[in-house]
Amino acid sequence: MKRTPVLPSLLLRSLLPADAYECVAGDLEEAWHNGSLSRAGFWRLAMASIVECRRPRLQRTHVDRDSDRKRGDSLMRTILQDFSYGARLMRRNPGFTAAAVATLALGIGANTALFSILNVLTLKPLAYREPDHVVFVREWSHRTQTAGFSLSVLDFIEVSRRSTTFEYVTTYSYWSANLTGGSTPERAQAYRVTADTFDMLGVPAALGRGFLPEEGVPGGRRVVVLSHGLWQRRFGSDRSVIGRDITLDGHPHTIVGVMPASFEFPVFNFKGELWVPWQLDMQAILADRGSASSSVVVARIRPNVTMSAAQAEIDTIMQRLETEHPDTNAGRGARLTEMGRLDDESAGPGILIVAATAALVLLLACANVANLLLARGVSRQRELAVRAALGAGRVRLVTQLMSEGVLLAVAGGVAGLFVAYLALNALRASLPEMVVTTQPNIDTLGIDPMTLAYAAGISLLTSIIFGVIPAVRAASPMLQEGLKEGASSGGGRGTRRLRAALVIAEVSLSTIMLVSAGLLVRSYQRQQHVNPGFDPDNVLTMMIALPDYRYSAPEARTQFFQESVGRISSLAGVEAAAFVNVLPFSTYNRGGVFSVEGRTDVERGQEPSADIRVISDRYFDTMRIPLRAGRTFDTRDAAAGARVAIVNEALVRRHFKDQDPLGQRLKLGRIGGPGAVVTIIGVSGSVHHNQLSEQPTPEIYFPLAQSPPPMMMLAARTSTDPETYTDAIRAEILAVDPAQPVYHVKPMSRLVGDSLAAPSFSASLMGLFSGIALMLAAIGIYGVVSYAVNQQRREFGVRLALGARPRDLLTLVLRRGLLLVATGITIGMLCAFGVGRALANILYGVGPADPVTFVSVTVTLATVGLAACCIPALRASRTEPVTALRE
Amino acid sequence: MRTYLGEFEQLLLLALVHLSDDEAYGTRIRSEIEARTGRTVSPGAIYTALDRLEQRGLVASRLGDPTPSRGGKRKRHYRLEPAGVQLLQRTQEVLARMSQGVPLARLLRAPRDSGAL
Repeated sequence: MKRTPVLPSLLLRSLLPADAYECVAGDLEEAWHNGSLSRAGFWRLAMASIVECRRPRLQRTHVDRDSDRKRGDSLMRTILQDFSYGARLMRRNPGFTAAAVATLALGIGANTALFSILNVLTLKPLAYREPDHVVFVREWSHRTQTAGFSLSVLDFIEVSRRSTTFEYVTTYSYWSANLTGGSTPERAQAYRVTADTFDMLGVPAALGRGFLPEEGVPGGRRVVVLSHGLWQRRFGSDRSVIGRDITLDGHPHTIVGVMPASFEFPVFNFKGELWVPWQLDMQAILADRGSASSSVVVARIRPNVTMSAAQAEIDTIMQRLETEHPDTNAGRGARLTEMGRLDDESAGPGILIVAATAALVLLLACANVANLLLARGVSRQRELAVRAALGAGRVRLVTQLMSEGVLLAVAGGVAGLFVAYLALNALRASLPEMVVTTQPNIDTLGIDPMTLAYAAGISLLTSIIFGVIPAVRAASPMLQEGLKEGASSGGGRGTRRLRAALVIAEVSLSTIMLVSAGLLVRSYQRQQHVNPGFDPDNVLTMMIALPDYRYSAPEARTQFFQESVGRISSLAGVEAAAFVNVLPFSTYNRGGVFSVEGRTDVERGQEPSADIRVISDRYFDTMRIPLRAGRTFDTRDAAAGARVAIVNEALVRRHFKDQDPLGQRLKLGRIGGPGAVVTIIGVSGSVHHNQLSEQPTPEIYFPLAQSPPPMMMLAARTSTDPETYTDAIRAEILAVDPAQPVYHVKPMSRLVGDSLAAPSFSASLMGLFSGIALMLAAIGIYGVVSYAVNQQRREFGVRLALGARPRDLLTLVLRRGLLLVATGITIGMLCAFGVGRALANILYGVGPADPVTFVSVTVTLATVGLAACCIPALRASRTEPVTALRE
Repeated sequence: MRTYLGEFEQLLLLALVHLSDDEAYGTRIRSEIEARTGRTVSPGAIYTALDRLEQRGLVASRLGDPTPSRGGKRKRHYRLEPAGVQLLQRTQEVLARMSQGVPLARLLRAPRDSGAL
């Protein structure tokens, strides 16, 4: 039997008298079950029934009412009456209603959209079993007091063997696999994970199974688990893929499972499309401690163990390792970070500032609606006074006015949800790719039950904020005055002062917001004009990862890259092309430590670090990075030639302050380690790598032939729109190796642009919000001044009759309005200084008390304020004395 | 006390005439009206109107047994009282008298000149 719709049934039960409920609900359920009623029909008839049974009847007598009250539903009836009265009022004043609802919709919409974003970014738990028990184990340096992201594989093995507080300790490593077979070769985002990883996360496969323990040891079977996305895209959601073989980097792997669609692992890194068991040879790693690499370690704390207990145990283990293996572990600890909380450290204050701004917008909206209600409250004073005189209690009047407020808020909330829906749709379409591929839960961005609840919550809250003051005021005991006075007066001194205070508050809030927005926009503009150190225009970039099984020999890799770059450079329209292991703004990076030969001031373990770049010959040409001294790489720097390097100015400034760097020799890696020694043959200009707002870091460039990496990025400078060259370049690569995919094809300018996504996002949101704030403040000023003018028409008439010139009235009104504005601006400016200081660490190239911003905000607000006062002031000066007096 | 019947009240009373005593409860009344007039009415409207008719002594009602298809709720069965039949008859007569000699079909074909009034 179909389940009856729950919500309408509940409404029926709570809103109808028991006997009517039994009949009506029974009828509806019967019709529902015999199939003659759709869900929508059920809703419609249930609602119609409620209205019908609740509608007050003309022929009902007082006796009926009394009997109703005895049944105990008089409160419900009262509230319903209030609501229907409020709804009629709303319909009768469409202008007022539209203004109030639109104002609220902007405020509630902005807040709801932001809540949805914040929810995805920070609040929503990861889709694992008990996600708060899943932690990263990150290397901690006692010297710099900072945590890395990964852990030495040695430490991983020790921790997993010694710890008792963890249920599982797992690790993974990044693998960019070439997926061949089928139509085109494809590069898939793969991860090697220890076999118990899916058990650790507590997520079973949707199809097939995860890994067996025996598949995670050296020599185990080659198996693979697919992501839902890859399964859909590459295998057309074919359920019979289990047991089939696919080829990854030349090796057949048997598909044993497909994960559910909601499964995302790892997070805060490129989300995996397939996973294979990492067959770590622990004995070999422990035997050769010197060459162990690092990998990301994820562990699950046992159910009844606290985070601090687990951290304490890790500390003990790491301390013991320091004494047992001082050569590898000196100065090294480990920190636990809850997986879902990793982002909290890096999430800039940007989003919080935006959230605070949205809250301010909502407050402003409330102030405006309160103002509107106050103004209307004045004109309704007579109506309320009559009701009070006829015996309506004060509580009764307040509930009536409050329910009108609630109606407005509900309408505003519904419209606000729509605003939020549109905003989120627009946002989802414009998310930077980096966010889509790495941010957990990003697919769920939108209006979900949590967001709905939030929107409902703030709508109610706002109705209280903007509804209470006018309601209490309007229903105050002075009501009787309303009966005595003439209709045109009213709005006592108190109300007028309250409205003036609201306007001052609005102006100062908008001042704060405009200043913050101005600072962020100027900071963003400054960043846009930073020279990145190279010319990003008309450069196409793409990535190539050579699989190990065909390119294990360094010569083969050098050969591939040199042949490809040669073919691409000779394409018509390609001015220059080069390979580099890590392009600026590619969001990847590679670094290492080094020491300057002959210097003794640096101890082992304290070596400085630099970013490491491996480039093909014409890289500096292609990117237009200037060469400051020496020479670039050429044919002399072949595999067999002397080991050479080029360093950038940032490195020279730090390490060769008053020395000629040319000819100096650098020892790579730890002092006393196996790293090579290279001679500096050139100095290049510095390049921004991650953010334009950050200082360039030291870089060391190596020639391709002397250390060819398996993964390289291509930069090709073209004479016209770079994206039109994609196919031609891809064809040249396939001509060199038909099984070699290219991926992440993007113009360089977009990489740079994406790095500005965060500041541009906060600047434009703030700009939008403060624009709304300015508009709201203008409406507020206009409302108050023009209302005051209307109230004083008679006074103005008298003044004119007694010889005042129209100009005097104009200045009188303007002065009064501008006084409000000036007070608001002054208070706002004082607060804005504080806010500016809070913003200081996300500002670039702009001081928190930037005079340009402050002056232009003052001018803007003063102008808008003046304009808002002008219309009512002009109206005052044109008062006809006779008509005004006659009224 | 009113001495006439509204249009909806007439529909309800006539529906009771068409239905046997056992069938004359909410859902069936509703579908009877819907089938004959094409009008969808809410159960709430039916019960409020029947309630008023009952207060005027025109119909009587009794509660039936709980029914599983109604979620265990009881049906309320209605039947016409003699007073109801009389009032229905009188209302129909009044209507018939008023419509006597009214050439509706012809009026429809040749609308009266509105300016003449």
